[in-house]
Amino acid sequence: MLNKLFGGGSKPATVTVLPSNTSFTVDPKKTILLAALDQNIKYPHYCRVGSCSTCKTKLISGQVRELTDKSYTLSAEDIAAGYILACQSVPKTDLVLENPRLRVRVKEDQGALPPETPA
Amino acid sequence: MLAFAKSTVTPRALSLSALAVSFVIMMTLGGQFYYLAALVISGIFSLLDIFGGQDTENPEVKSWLYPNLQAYQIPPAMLWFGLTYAWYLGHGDLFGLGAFMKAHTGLDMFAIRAHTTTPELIVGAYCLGTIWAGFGTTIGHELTHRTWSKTAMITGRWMLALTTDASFAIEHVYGHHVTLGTPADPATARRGETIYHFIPRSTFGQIISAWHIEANRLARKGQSVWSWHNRMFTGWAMTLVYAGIFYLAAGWLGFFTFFAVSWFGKCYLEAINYIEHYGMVRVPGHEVQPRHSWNCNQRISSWLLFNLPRHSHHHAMGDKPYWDLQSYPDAPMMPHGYLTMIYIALIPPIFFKMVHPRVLDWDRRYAIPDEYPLIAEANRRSNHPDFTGGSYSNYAAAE
Repeated sequence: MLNKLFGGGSKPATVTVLPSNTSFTVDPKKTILLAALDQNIKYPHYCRVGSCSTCKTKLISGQVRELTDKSYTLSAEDIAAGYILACQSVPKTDLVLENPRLRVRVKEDQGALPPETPA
Repeated sequence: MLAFAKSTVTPRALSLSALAVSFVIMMTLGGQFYYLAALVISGIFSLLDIFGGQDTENPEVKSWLYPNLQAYQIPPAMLWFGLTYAWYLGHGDLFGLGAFMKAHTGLDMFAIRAHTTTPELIVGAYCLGTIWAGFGTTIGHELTHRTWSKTAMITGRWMLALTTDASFAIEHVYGHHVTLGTPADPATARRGETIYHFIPRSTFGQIISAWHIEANRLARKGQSVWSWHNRMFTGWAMTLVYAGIFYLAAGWLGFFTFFAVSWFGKCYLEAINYIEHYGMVRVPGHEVQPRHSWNCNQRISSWLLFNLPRHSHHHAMGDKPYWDLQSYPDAPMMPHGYLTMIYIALIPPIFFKMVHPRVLDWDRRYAIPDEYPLIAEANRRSNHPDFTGGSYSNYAAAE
């Protein structure tokens, strides 16, 4: 019931982002972006509500459930090319993504995330 | 169970529930109780706000149940207040409401209506408008941000439709959250702009912006603007459903009263918009940071308005539910609570006197060099001596 409501699978999904080959797991019901940020991965983003397109990412393989209509934010060309919004996409399967702006895997011991503290 | 009760049933939660119950009683009893409700809304709330101090605590909420229950108690209350008001305004017994209440609660709404005077109905309309704006649209805003729940997003649109503005759900998320502080944002009040200039500019600006955003979305999907895929139309249809219920209850008087109440509520909502970002600037495309909103930690405003005054965190992280919003005490701060500031804003000279020093302080302490040219431009356009005559505007230029 909850899975149906929130649209995730029941198992964590493994997400790999190319070309940096960054891998992380995404718990059921969680968006790609929030899962990455929770694991101290500096996923490019800022608005978190699906409107700024900073987190746009190409879906290479796998399936996602999209919380909002990305047509509000992405161009028709981007959508046709397979781009999704990481902040509004919940993995349904394991995923391979492409986001050249995600470069460095931040060390686990870094502590609080920069976006979680007021600027 | 005890641990659960301890962590969720806080004084804050209990006082909100008590308030909700008291409003249900006042708005259901109608008649002279509308005066009492108006006194609470426009007098007692502001007094409590002024003397209630600040709440900068950031409690960790483990269970969503109780805070969510508090959010979801609002929509049925909003509909109930509207329905009972329309019933008192009319003559028949819409939906058998009067007979139902008499049979099941003993409350004789027919007798109350027979004694209800026109001034009471006018004050009742004022209460309904402010309640729809203060609670209905606040929760509407909260719910339209919850993209993970379709129920939340649809309920949110129905709440925003109470103030004739379901399209707020489009403009606010896909416009305001991106364009905040830039000239492209209708909902950022400009330096030197009075609330009376802002309300119509922002209202119509947002509708036009929402239309463009929606038209673009439909074009990308290959759908016609002139179809029910257009959420502008479905939003207006929601408002017409409410207006239709008022019409059924009280004829054309009901229909026009609904729109009077609804537009009044919309103005109230825009008054809140006015104070939230007054005078701020941001470079288009730059990240929205906590410093781009006037934050407010006044206890009563935050409690009553579901932490909407914790606006700095909201704009920096728009996906957080209200109970996760933090107080950000280092963010630019509004001088008083929302429930006080909206009345002060009605008197522009006093509002300017109170806020302009803070805007100038914002320029000095929060602005980054990239924003200085925008500040100089905003000051020049303000046509207000606080910005055009003082020493400060030269400071930005000199930098």
